[in-house]
Amino acid sequence: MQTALLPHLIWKDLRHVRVVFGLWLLLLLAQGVLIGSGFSVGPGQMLWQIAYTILAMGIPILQGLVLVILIPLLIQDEALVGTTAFWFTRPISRGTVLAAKVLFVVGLLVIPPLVVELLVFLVNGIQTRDIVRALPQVLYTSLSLIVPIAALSTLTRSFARFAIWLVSVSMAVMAFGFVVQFGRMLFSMETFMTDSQNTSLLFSRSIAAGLCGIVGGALVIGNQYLTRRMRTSFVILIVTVASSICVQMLWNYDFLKRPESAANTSTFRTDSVSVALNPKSVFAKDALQFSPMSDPRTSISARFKFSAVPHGYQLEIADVQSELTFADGTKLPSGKVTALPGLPNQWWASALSEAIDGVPVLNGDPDSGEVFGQVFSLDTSIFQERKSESATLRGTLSLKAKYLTVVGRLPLRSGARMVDGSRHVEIATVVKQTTGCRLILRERKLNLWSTSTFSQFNPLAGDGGVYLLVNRARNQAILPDQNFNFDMASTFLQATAMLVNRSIVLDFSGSRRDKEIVSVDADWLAGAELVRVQAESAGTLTRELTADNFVLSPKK
Amino acid sequence: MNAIIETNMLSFRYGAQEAVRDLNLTVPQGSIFALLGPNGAGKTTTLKALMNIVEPTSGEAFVMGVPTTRLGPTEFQRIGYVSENQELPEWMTVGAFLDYCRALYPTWDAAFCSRLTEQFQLPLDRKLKQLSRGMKMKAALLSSLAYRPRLLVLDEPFSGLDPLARDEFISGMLALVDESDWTIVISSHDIEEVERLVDWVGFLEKGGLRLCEPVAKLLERFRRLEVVLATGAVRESPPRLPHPDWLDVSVQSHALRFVESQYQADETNRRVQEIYPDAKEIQSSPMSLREIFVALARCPQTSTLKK
Repeated sequence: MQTALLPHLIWKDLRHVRVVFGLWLLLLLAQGVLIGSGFSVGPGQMLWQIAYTILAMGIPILQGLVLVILIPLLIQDEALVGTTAFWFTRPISRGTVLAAKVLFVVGLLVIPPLVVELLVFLVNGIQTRDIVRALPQVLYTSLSLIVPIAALSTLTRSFARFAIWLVSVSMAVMAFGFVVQFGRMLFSMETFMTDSQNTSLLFSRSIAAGLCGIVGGALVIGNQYLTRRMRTSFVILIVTVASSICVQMLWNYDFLKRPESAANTSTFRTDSVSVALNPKSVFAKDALQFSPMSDPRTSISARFKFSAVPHGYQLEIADVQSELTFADGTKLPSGKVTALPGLPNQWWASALSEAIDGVPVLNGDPDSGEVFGQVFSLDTSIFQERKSESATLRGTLSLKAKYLTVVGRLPLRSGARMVDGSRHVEIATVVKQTTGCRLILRERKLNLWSTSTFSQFNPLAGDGGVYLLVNRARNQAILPDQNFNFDMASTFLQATAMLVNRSIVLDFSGSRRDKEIVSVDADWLAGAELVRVQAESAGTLTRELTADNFVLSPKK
Repeated sequence: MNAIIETNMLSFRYGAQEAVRDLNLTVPQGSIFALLGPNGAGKTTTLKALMNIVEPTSGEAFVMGVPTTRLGPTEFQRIGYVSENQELPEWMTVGAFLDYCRALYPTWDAAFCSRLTEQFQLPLDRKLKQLSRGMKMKAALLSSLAYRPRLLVLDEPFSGLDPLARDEFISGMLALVDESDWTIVISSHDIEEVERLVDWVGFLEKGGLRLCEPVAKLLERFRRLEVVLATGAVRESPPRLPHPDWLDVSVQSHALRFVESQYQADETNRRVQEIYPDAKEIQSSPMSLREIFVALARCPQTSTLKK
């Protein structure tokens, strides 16, 4: 490689793309300022929200489009296709050109976003530990866009051809992806549904598919520069696209899943925890059927009642393996049970109360200690045959234990702040209403793969946590109403930015299902504070379940 | 004779089509070599294979003693290549383009470059994309001359140039020929222009080499002959060539006209007398390179023409 020539070639490239690169840099800085400044729009300001959303969504989209122009411009200046490129007969080795392009891309297209994000994180008080976790994500995000565009650019000699290729490959990916997805649904709808509710698995798949694309793209680029053998490059491209799609659809190794260890019995005594099923709560419904070729299925759900769960803990069902034994001795194992995603606001009032030093949560779910979930799955034809027969249900439940703990307290006034790790919360506005009050919170946090959940799009969910108003003098606590105040700007922003500044609107009326439980007046609010309770994983446990006289469709 | 370019059974295929076939070509060092041939003869493909732009399907070729498939930066510092189809970085100004090239060549002669810029009347502040085709060719030529290469390969350099630009281009080349010890290989249709420059010539036809020799020798051995026969001796063109070395035979009244490709005054006269004993008069006239090219192009390939 001609190392001495590298600065010369990089400078030449920079001069060539300076206008487009300048535009991209400007957009990068604008995005950094927009996200990093902590500016956010309250949910009530609809016009501002629309403007902010357009900016917050538009800038990254524009950045992507500018890259789509910039990278082909950069690569095709030393075209690798055809026989007419000027540089073929100049004293520049292919390795040198490749090195110059790689240095340009890394130095000017990969590192600047990394630096901008780093600055944004530092300005916003993100912890070092979280920054270390976030930087590979920033790097991946950059490369997963840059490498495929660069790979296609090395296979084309003009922007027009590149654009045609980009559209064609995108359409092929969509068509092939649709076929694979359709095939999966046909093959097993239940597995498909179960997988589609597993957030960390979906993220793992996306990342694995993206890495596949990055590695394959890098191979195409390397092969094009070092050998210019188009056929080999095309084969690599096709293999890369196909494998990326297959990985996206079929990858099953969930590397983002937090390791679940068995519950620590020294802090969480699980010996006495038991589970029972209320046979009268059994509820049958047709399972979602996709394939006309497969037999229709029926899913059976029921209410599980947990006993002797230590104070401050709550349980979630992760998996159910069950079998029915009918009176005639026939045994019927369950099909795959599709677990419902845990509702974000499904908090056990008893566990919440324990977390806030025993202050009762007045408008909490009275059915604390109960979980409604699917217990059995079978063919509808068998269900119809045996739906009235009494049987014994035996099963094994895999459970996740969660410990609820207070992570922050804020006095009830505008400007009050709370820091929980990399999460920064500030009360923006306190609006006293006829019954109760409305709080508008500004929350700043990192949007990491490892902590991403579906509930992140629901401002009430709070990512494994919940906000309560606690009045210790009166020994009363209340949960927010289940109003969904859609914050368009925050919701869309979370899809694109790593650092999210979002508004959360919480209405505390002190009622439950429109029935007033406690009068939240000015006096009550004067002695109240806002408390954030977080659910921390406390390990896993399994319990055997036996239910006699179990009827698939009991008469109500 | 030291060869700067040598090919050994070089072949190249585009799919099923054979563009170059078993080519054995030698270009002597220090020569100005014209690679001639009709359209589709394989001239450009041959030059691309010699410059390692395309990889030969079979056979081998050497440029300055290095296999063409291994030509790299070291060799290209001593090779200049200008092609009518070459895509220059058109976003650059002429000045920026020359600056860019200068860093690639340790032997770049800045004074020589300035002189050529002036001679070619190239506007340094104009972008390449704003230049006419002729000016672009001049810029490309200048960027390939300024480092004084040992070998200069020009692929159809006159194509698309108007007569004035062509004349300036050739004048420039002629002015330089004397002051550099280099080898120039030119492929062109424009034989009259090339004739002013070259001292060696190779003739390609259908991917194969038909002849390859010094121009002087070629002009010496090719003659147009007119043989006047006794009345009534010949009325029609002969169905077969009377002699394998004779090309483009035609008959007009009592005169037989043809091109002798192995002309030697005594020997040719003897041969004519042998075939046409009633020949009354034999007149020979020298031919231009263009006329030889046309005569060769009109006649089917015969192995006897290869020298």
